Amino acid sequence: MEVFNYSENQKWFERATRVIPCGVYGHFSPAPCVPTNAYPFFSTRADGCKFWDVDGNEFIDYMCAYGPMIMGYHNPVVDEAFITQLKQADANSIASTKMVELAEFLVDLIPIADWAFFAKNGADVTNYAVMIARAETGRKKIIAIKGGYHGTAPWMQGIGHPGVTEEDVANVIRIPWNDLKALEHALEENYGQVAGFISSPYHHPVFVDNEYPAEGYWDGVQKLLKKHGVVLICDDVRAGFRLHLGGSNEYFKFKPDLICFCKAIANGYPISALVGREELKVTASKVFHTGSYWYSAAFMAAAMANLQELKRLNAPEYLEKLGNKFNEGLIKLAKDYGFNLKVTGHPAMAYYRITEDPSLQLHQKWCAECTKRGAFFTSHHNWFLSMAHTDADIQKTWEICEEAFKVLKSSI
Amino acid sequence: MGTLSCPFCKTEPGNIQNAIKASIYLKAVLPSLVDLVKLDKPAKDLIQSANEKIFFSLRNGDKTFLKIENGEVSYSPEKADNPTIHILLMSPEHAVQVFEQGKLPFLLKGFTRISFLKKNFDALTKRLEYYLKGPQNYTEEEKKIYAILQLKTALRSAEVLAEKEEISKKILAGTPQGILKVGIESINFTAYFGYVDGKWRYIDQLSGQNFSSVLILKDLETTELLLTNKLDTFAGLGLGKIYISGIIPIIDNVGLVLGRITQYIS
Ligand SMILES: Cc1ncc(COP(=O)(O)O)c(C=O)c1O
Repeated sequence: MEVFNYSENQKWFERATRVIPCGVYGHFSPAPCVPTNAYPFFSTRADGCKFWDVDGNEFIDYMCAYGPMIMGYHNPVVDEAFITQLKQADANSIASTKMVELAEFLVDLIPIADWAFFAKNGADVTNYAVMIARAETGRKKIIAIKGGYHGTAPWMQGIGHPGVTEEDVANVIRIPWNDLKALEHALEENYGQVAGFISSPYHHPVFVDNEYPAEGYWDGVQKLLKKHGVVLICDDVRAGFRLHLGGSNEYFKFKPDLICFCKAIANGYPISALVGREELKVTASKVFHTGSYWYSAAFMAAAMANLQELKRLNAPEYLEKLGNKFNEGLIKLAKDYGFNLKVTGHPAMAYYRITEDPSLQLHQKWCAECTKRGAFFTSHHNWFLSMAHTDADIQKTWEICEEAFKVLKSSI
Repeated sequence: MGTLSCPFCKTEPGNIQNAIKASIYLKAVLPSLVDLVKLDKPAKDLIQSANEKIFFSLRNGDKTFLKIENGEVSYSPEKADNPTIHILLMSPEHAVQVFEQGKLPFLLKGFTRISFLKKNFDALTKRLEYYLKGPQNYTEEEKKIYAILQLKTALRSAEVLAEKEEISKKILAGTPQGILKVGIESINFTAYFGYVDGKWRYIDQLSGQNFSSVLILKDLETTELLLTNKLDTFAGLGLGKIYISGIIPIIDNVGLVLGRITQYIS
């Protein structure tokens, strides 16, 4: 099996470092790619569940643009809807009727939703949700989960990060996942001061195993929040539409007041949404929040077409089945070579870890060996499956994984 | 005694940073004399024939005990023996003035050793300052010493921040517990910083424990760029000048603490 060469990637990276901080910044930066020389940094083309880098290497993509791609790159239905709307009108000086249609569609699709609001990125709507919770309650504090990610606005980051002041995070209380006692304690210790509780529907942090809600957890959360008059915000930016088309809260059977969507909503076209209950609509109307590109109609058309396709194809069911099959094969392969591959989180977006080495170095090596052979795996983040991943892709991926397990075994 | 103004200072005497600064001098800078005389021949020559036990004590605060013998210096954070010289620092402000502005400390013991303090020890601390002040026209060998002393002093300073600085404490409270190996590949240098026996600390050599993360700098040039805050570390990773592996949040968060040192010393 061919092991990839990245000489063009390296050249581009060097060029990038001269004019761009980090070379490539943020979650696409080289920081979590271990070792960096096993990873590509620049692509030229993408199609279906694959992308090609500047060296011409072909990858089956298990990161799906870190979540946005769900129907496959260049999905004809979604792209067509986008292009058609682009030709008619995209950004201009007044809103598009597409915005109304998309809001109506979401209100019908998502059981808790009585209204919808659109922006561009996940953090636009997690921020908006928190502002609404504060405006509604007249309180300042927000409870969030340790290790939970909601974007990069200062309040979402940890203390000590460059550019973040103590004041920025002073009103954010972080508690452990699945810990009702900690939630109760935080609410009581800050009695009458907590505006909102923001959490993903299940815990999908980086570098550590993902965790489902414990039996009774969300019921307990809802009871406590109701007692204290606190707004429940579900950050479904990453999991949204992969687990359940009505919001991942439907999968876990709870009813948030607000849900934040982004990633998979438009198959890579930039748009995010906040949906909420009727009771919060007037408050939402009072919170001023806007952006230069938040009315671009072509992205709304793409979102609508994408969601319709996901519904038509019953995507969550397909992804769960495919994920279970993929994972069973991976776990067995690992076992055949004497390794324990632990799979956590939802099968459509699972997190993987070879447990023999708690320092993750073995797992990092395995992911790197797979990537160098054409299965794009990161070692720190959950992976994603899409509707474009086929049985043949899975089969080819298993072959790559087997080869990588061989390399791993011979190296220890 | 030479001013140990390892470049470090942005102090306004009297502000609350002084307690942390004083600790950095006592627990990170002075202990670096141990490595200095091991690595630097002129430094070793200065104490070749000395036989002294110097005890620095900050009233109600940290202590530093340096034993100088057979051309070597050893360090202990407590009084390990009867000192020949006892230097009292009345307060953190006083300690900072002594180390940075050359103010005279109170000598409680060692009145007959003043000439050693004024000549040899003063020259020794100046030699340390030569390396800690930052890059100069170093020889190849000196470049290596500069990198090692700076890194070790930084890791020891991080231990002080981990213990005393509120923000660093919060950063480390949310950090997976483990040991970070830090190294410079081209000179085969390694040191460690990690969570051992309930606290985050500098570790010179591992005794039996496993490290959980690795941060390796390729060469002295990369190290100098990093130490002088001229390196884009993300770019350095992509360019292969820095290599990391293992539990990356430990590297990130220890990096955040290391980045805070310049708030106290620069
Ligand atoms: C759960 C979750 N919330 C919020 C965000 C922030 O989204 P964005 O990067 O689009 O601002 C992300 C991004 O990864 C996420 O995974």
